[in-house]
Amino acid sequence: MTTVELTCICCPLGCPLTVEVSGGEVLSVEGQSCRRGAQYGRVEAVAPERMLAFVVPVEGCLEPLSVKTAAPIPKNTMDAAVGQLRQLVVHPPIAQGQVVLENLANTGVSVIATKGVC
Amino acid sequence: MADESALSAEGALSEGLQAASSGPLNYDVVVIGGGAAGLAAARAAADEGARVALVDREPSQGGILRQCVHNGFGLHRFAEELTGPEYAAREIAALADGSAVDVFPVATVLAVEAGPVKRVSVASPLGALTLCAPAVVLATGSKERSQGALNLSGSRPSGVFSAGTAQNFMNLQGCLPGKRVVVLGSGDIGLIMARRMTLQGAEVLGVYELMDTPSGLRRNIVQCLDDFGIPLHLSRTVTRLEGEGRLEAVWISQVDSATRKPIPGTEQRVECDTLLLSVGLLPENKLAKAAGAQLSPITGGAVVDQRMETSLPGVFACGNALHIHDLVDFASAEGEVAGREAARAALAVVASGALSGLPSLPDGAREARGAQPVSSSDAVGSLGLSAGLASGGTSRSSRVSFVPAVPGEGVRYVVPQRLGDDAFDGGPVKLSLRVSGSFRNGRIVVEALMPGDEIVPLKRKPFMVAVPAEMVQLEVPMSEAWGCNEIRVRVEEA
Repeated sequence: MTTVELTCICCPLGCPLTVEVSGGEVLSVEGQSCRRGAQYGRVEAVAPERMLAFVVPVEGCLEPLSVKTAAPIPKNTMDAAVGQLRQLVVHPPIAQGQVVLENLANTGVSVIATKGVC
Repeated sequence: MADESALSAEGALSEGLQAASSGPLNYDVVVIGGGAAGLAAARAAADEGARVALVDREPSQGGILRQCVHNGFGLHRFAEELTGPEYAAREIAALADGSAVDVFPVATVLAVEAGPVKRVSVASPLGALTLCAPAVVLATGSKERSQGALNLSGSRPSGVFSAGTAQNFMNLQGCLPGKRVVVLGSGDIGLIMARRMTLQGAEVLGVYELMDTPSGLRRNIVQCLDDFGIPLHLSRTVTRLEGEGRLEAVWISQVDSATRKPIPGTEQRVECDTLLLSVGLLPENKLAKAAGAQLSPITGGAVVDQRMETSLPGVFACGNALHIHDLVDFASAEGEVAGREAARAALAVVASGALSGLPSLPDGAREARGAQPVSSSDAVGSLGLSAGLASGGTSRSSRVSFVPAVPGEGVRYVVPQRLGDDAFDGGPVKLSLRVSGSFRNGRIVVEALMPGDEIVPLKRKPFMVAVPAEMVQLEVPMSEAWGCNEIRVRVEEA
């Protein structure tokens, strides 16, 4: 059994969490002030994930396009995801909310535009 | 060409073109600033039935949200996590949705002249315009504290940016400001930029903080620094810049945590080509100051009442121009109050006919300008506004006095700084405050000091953690405080 010390990032309180893990299974989460904290600790201790926001160049346009993952992706895929996004160039027009890349770094998560360009 | 979310201002433009030759443009409310607070204020004012002009210096609206491409905005206002551009797009769509707001983009306000009719001088692509209205909302946002405030010695190479400038370069102009980066200051913008620069391919060598505690939120330390292995060095500051033309290194000194002065002999050289400064935001208040509004030396913003009205009748303030917010949601909410109240005040003036006999001449406006000296304290008490009121500028001529809302023990500031009579006969009043230190398991106490030294408790809010980096907001019922001399807000430790 191992003990993992974490700081919850769900809200500005930043509760210090103590999570007990055994064989990839979470046994207990302590220190949180709410249910979101317990859920965060459960995930963060064994399979942490993050939203990723990025900007990518737009062909023929000086202003880049801001994008984000449609859902959080596993933290251990972050390097691959960032590497793939750095190669991405998009073509206008693009509407806000449009999918600009599917299955980012084999996570099954899409990348969507957070603004429009035309 | 990107981001066509800007509101169409064709109506305003054609009207403006005509007006440029035919004299001032008349509105009920002029909102200055098209960021989160200004957009919300314009929408709220239009919802009250006011004719509204929104003046913004950028080609597209949204203010600083446009360059904040990370997510985490809107949990309070929209009950979901949005990125900055998404949040701005929603506000812009809401504004365009049937409300009669004339937007003046790429327009800079040069001056606001107070008086019964406010005259707003604007430089725009249409030429010089004058917008006239009984009410004005100042939503001018904030500026970053700059290098000049830091007393850095050494050369003056390029490569030193405020964090927000670097953010603009990266996220709106597609330029990476540098490759080897040192961040000075652990404010949230600096932390977020450390992550952004790392993601886009720069090497962030470290974040250095003068104080012995980080000034940004802990969650940002975890997700922006720890996730990327970026070290945070406390009680350190940059004391010297080195480089000819471009920055080549910064010199970092340890800081005595008691005196906050660099310790001689502890200088270390860190090779880098870029220094980002994230050392605080200051409300942008040149217009408010020049118009004669009383400013708070603590917040740097105007002194307002619960309706967000400044010491100048008919001039309102909200958002980061009033005090620095951590959450854009709160800036929007404050903008709504300011916009609504500005519209009500303006429409009341129009309905009363007070303006019919007043030529909208600069002279008349100057006479009525209630220029107040800047007080050295937030405890403003009752201000001599009766002179301004007597000139017929406002419908609320019954109001002659205010009750100060003052920070007590453990509280750095309270906004609004004063409460008018009608704060005590309606619903609860929202108070925003920041504590002056770090507290655990205490409570915020709001109480009324009545004549005869009686103290009436109005609100007690327990908290687990209260830190200066996080604004606290309270809804406080005021009906029992009627007739009090002062509202006091303080921290009570367990």
